Amino acid sequence: MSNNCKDERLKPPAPKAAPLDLAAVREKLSQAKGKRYWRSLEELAETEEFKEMLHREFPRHASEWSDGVSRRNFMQLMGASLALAGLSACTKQPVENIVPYVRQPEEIIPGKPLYFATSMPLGAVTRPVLVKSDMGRPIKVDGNPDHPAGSSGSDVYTQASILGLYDPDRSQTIVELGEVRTWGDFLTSLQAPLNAQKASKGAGLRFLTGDFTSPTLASQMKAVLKTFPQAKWHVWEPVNHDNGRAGAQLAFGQTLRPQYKLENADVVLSLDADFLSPANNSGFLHYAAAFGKRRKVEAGNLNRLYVVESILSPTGAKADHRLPVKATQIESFARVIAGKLGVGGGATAESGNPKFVDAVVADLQKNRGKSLVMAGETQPPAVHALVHAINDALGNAGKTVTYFDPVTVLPDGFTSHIESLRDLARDIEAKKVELLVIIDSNPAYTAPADLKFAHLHMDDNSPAEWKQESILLKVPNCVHIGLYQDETAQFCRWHINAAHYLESWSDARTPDGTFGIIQPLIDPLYGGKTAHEVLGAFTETPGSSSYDWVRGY
Amino acid sequence: MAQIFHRSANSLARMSILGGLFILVTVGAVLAELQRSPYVTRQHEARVQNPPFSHQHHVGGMGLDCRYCHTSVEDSNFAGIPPTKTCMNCHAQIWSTQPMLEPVRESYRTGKSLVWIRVHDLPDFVYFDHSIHINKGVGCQSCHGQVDKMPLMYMEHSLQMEWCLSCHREPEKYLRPKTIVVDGKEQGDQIFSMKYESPSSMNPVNVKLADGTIRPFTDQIELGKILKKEYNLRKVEDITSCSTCHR
Repeated sequence: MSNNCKDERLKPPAPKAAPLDLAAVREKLSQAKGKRYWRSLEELAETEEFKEMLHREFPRHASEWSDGVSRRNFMQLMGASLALAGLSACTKQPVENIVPYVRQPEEIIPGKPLYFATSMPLGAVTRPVLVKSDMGRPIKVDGNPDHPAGSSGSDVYTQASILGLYDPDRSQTIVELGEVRTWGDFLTSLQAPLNAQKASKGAGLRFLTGDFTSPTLASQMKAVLKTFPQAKWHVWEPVNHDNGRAGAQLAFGQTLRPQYKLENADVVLSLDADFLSPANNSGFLHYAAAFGKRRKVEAGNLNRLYVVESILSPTGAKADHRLPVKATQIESFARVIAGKLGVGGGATAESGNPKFVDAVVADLQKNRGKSLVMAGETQPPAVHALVHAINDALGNAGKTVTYFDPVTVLPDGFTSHIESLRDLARDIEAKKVELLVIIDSNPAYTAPADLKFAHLHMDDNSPAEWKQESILLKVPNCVHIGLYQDETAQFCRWHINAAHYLESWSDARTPDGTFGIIQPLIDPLYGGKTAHEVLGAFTETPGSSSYDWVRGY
Repeated sequence: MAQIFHRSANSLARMSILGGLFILVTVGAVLAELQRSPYVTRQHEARVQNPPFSHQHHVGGMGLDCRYCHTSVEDSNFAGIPPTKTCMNCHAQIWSTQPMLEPVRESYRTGKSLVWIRVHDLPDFVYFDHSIHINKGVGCQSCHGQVDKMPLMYMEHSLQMEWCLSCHREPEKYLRPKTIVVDGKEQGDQIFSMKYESPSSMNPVNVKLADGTIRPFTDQIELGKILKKEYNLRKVEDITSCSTCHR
């Protein structure tokens, strides 16, 4: 068998098949009686090549694996090893040791886990969590039902965060241009550029962070910017709430964020708002639970969900009435609804489905104060503004939707994340930036390509080779703090390995504004540093620990 | 045609068949016995520890309660091996210059743990929980033997599955009351006692039951059946189910 295969391979490739005679094929089709199925024109024409291929079962070069060990031999060997593997049980158990504590910590019962409450920050969203810890090692993260903004469930990000702590790919040391350094080395080498910046009041000093809610970090940032009045702070988060912010600005004149009370809503209209999925959705757990409460037939107070969306989403799957529309049409749909409800009056474009619109409008009008309209984060600001106006007109504000001040801390004069990053890129291009500190942000990977945080560049001398370039290389002193030596770290002079949230002291605010403390479950596995400690290096007390900073605040 | 084999080959053939069977059975029996033998199970094999800790001295001589050292036995699956601090509670005062105790003092000085050899070592595929046994009326002694007579710790029983099952099939043979009454005085903590003897006609035991009544027993089976109800033991089918221990 295997010899045959080898011979097949040695054969010269078959001559190119003659082109199909379409006329003959047509003739065959016209003569065919009854149903006859075919998978290719070759099969229909019954060419010689096709018959040959069917005969050989496997096409050329896809023949049976024909190494020295045949399949049968392999099965025999593996079967024997499996059967004999049982014999390994017939041995003495190896000697095991017990290594007790020297001084046992309080509250630890060997064999029983302990639970600690902390908060898990992820961009602008903080989740109150309860972490199971066995003999000092965190092993499971779940929601904290005792926290005012918490619940017993959790989402994929929470569950996965424990794997991030033990990820062997985590950055394990401080690095300067590829060389291992200590924290002391970093503080020493920071002195010269820092003194230069002090002289120029920080004209060449820039900070780039991701979204964060920590009041301590915000106060530290404020203090640093006070010391260096010319320095600038930029925020870049690829998954952000800029559309919602701009919409609220349009509607209220301030950047309020809506929180929905789905338990009070009898009729819900979602305009591309995927509130039942955890992706980019701060209130997912709360919303899903509240929505679920109103879907119990036995309770008898069922709600009704209309979903207008451009993709398939979990929320759409739960909808009573789902209208799939093009992404571009959602805004005009919102305008039509608003117009019919007497808001704005911009009902110029008629939506493609007047029956659906009329039903939704009638249902919303019937349930004033008990209905809810939601706009998806990806929708343009106009849709958000319209939705705020509709909810207000229906008397829903305060009943099914409440508005909160945003918890994310942003720099003064901030308009949007992309503008903030563009400002930074412009300054870097103009060589104004001498010392750049990047905290928890990876612009080389997430920034739009035209900002050139990472781009391929062809060298004139060797046109065959593409080189990776970045405007970050124009910054003489670039410091990157992150859990991984990621794309941005490659372009920075300094990389500082960050502490995981399970290893650090900090604080954060949940989307409804509740404060939460982040407490460490374990000493930093690789001596990672927190954002507090790195920002602390720019203050009068560079040696303070994050515990000191959080306590001090 | 002449016969190839002599007539005696018949009996030779029969004998070799029987002999082959005999050898197979013998080898099987020897292996089975070997598997149960103390050579493999390490039953009754006193393990040399450093320092050579004596349960006989501490339990039998000094009268320490099991739980002074094995603190988590009532709460956790693991009975707990005491931290060096527990040893030093006393040995900072007494025998504080004994050369035998130098490893303990060194551990306390340097912060490096003592390393003990595990005597009772169940395979990792067995789930075992101390607390449930303690709380359901199984005495320490029932499994660990007369610890107060062991200068160096050894396994009293093989800890093999057939031994576990012998009790899980008939727990009433081994259960003991938590509180007994001797000469009108209540004596609790019988679970941890090394002096408790199960009732017989020669040794009647007065047991205080949950409803407060005191009853004399002269038969272990009779007492065990009552204790099974009193401590809410699960049915034999439940505690002999595979997944109870092999989770």
